[in-house]
Amino acid sequence: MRDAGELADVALIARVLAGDDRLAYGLLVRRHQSAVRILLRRLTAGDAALADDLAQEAFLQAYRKLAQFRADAKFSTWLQRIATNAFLQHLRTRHDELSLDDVPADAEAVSDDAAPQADLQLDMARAFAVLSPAERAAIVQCYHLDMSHEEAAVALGCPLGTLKSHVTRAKQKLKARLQAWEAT
Amino acid sequence: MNRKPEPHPVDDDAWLRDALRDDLACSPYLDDDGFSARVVQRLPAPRLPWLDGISAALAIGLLALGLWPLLDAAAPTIVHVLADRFDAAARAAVSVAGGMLTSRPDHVLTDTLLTAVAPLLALAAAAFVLAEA
Repeated sequence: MRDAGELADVALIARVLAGDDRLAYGLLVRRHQSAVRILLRRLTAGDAALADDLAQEAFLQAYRKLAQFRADAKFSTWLQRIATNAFLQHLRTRHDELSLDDVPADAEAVSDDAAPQADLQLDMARAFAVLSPAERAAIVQCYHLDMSHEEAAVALGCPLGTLKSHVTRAKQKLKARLQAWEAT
Repeated sequence: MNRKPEPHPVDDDAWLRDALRDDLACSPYLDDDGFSARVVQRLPAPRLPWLDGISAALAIGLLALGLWPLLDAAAPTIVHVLADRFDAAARAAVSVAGGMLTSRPDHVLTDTLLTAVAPLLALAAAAFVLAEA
């Protein structure tokens, strides 16, 4: 099923590149919007409006860069990396207002709009909210996107040692918040 | 950006890694709710292949016109062949421009414009066309 989906992605991308087919790109957006928006909600600590704005920007960037996509990678992963970069770019442009190392004041402010059975998602969302933006980005890049520490450091624009510190601190905070899930 | 990921360093936090992966994989699907339509509406205007061809031809023409003085100095024989065509076109254009500046034809003015300003304008226009292409 997944292979068929990836093949379909490649076919849609070819249609977009061959004839500027907006309908095909719309199908790609519809197919991947949920995963990209969920990832950005994690990165923005549950700010759904900001996450959706960044998701739109990410899909527009992906459209402009579509010719650079190589079929040896998963389109979904490529999109999520662009989305993560959009989040980092957003932080850099708002440098005066929000530092990469700022820790949110109210970690319980995560919106509780998930399905009741999605306890892990809710706990994870709350746990992410206590991380600084840099820690969130580091965890997403290393654990969700399977980037190496070196790749993540380059994407974050920080030294490798700093990236490792972000990951270590983030894991400590997540473990503390998600202890109940360790035994399961 | 989309190269194959390198193996992640081994750590003793398998449960956390699994939890993070499950987190995204098991997250409830977010309804599109008009999101795709909003993205498609914001896509840049479609490119027109025939317009690309015209832009390329225009850029080449303007570059040649702009570089004409250099070619004139470096390769008189080449320029001699091309000069008649460009010269006629450029003189006609500058004459029109000159006519807008003064009611009387002034060969000194048009010659100055032709030799100094017109090539620069042509180069600037070529750069603009190439940047837009």
